[in-house]
Amino acid sequence: MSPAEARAALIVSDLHYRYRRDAAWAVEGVQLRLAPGEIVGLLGPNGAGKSTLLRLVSGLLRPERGVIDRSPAPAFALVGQENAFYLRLTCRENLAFFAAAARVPKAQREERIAQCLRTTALQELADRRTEQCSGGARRRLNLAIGLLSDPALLLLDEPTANVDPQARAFLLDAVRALRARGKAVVYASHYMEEVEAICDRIAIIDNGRLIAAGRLDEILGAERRLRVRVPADALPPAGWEAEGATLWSKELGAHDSLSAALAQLETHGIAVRNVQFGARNLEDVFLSLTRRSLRD
Amino acid sequence: MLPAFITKELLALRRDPHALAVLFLMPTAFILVMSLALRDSFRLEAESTLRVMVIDEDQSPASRRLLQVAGTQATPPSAVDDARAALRRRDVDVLATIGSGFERALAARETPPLSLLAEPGTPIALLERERGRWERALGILRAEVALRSLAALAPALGEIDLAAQDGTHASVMLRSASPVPLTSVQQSVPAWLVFAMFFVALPVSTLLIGERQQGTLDRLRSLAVPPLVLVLGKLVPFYLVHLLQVAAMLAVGRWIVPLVGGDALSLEVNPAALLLVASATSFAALGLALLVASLARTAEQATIGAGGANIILGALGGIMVPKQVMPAAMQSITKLSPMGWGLDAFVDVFARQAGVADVALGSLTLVAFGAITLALGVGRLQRVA
Repeated sequence: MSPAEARAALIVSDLHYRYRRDAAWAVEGVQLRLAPGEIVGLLGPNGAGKSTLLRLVSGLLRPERGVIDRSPAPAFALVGQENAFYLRLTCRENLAFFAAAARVPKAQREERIAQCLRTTALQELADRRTEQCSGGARRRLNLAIGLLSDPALLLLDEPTANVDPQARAFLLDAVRALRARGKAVVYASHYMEEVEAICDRIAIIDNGRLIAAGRLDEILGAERRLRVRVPADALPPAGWEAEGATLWSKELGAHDSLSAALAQLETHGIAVRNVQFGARNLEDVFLSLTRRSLRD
Repeated sequence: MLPAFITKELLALRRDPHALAVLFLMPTAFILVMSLALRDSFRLEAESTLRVMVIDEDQSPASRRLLQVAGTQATPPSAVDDARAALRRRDVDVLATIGSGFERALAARETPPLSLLAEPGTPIALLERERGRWERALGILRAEVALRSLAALAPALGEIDLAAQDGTHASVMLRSASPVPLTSVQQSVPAWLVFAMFFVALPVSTLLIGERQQGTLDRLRSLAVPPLVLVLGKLVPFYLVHLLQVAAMLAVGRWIVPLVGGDALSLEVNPAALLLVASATSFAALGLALLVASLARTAEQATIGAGGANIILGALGGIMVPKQVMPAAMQSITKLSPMGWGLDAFVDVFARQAGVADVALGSLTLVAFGAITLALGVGRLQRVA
């Protein structure tokens, strides 16, 4: 094992999984590597394979092929989409139960529970039954339970689903704070704004495959599609695709010149009204790679 | 780790009023109602009496002798119409009619016209006792007629008063073979206790389905909680709930039922046999609960499945209708239901003072049923997960 591998919080190689033998791959050939103190955003629409990948990494599903290298439980924690705790118990009772389940030593439990309540700002709600807590407080408790074992690796699956903007901002700050404490985080979401805001690296997943991965600037910079707005009655010349009645696009190679592409249109007498080159955001990247929206 | 699971389940159950009502209030209500409703059906020597009115249409020496031997009086002829109306109004339970031609039929050794008209719903045991009273009186009259026919041979025979010689009391003593006779409360407490114990299928399955749907079970599995702890985490707390149910229902039978006019439950039982039967019934009920939980996908399915299965098993097992009043064919059907096995074992403990050896086979059957259903349930839960 190389020193770099020794430092990795998670290494996933050539991961394959399908729910039935005759079904399509739900996860296909996924590679992923995560260092301590790093947040990797797993971005993709609903059904892309994000949750399946996290369930594989957490050991809830067994891969058909591939390798997952991480520390055993409870050195990692899965914080799923659902509020996975007991509504008839108070926040503190839930934390006490899951602390025991996570094998937190008895002598440390009280302090650890208090720490998790502080981290997620739940001190005032600690003795309230969770069925009486707001949606935002429940999401915070869901995260707090994941932090009980002080895991080195956190797998967060849509942690801000169905919460108000204030609770979302709090949760994003909490995840940033985890990075500052050296935790490795896989942050699965279909909200590109969140992923852009907090992740060091981004992996875009669709139909079970990683279709792009890297730092935000790398992913946006790799996009070399030229889009132009043109009159409605014009026909696209060779090499151009019509994405709509007045929107054409052309993929430029690494050595293709932007001015040459625009000159081609001018040669055909087409009056270009608007020009866009590269991706403005991850939505553009996803659209370009899949011809679908992230929110589809 | 297991104590945390037990604490969690008991806390959650304590705050679930619906589950508490099903597990404790429902059997209490059934025990109170059924102990009173079935009281006379279980009495060997019923204390309560029927309100009987007698119409003597024959008005003959023989019919008057019948009334004398039966120890009753006829309604005056003017009140006969009122007597029929009183039966319809349920002011009386039974109308006994000595039909005209009674004396002639008796002398001719034919079946004399004597009928009992009962208000529907009158306890069968009391009706049978009433019929027995009239049958006995009629028997004495027939014997007297026979003796009188022999008076030509020996005049003294015609003077014998058989009723006076026989006395007015029943001549056959009816006693229970057990020092504690089976009363309605001895039957109702075990019956509804077993029913309530099997009703844990409802909270257990809805809890498990909730854990599956909310991802709690996944969270615990991702924390590498051993499957054995997950299973014991359900079995142990609900076993404790079962023991609590046993204690509570015994208390209801012993102290609450007498407050509303029923018999007190006899607690002269073998504690070890009681614990064995309670534990075996608990295991069978928990196995079935986990199987129902593994088969249902939603809480609604679990509620309908657990409730429906319990009612069917209860009906088959002699919970709702005591086995004693079932026809023989139906009594053999009770052997198909684990509730019937549990009920038989509990009744053995309560009414027959059975020891551990006496209930060992019944308990073993319940444990085997629990082991099979538990294995099927856990296996399916693992496949579903």
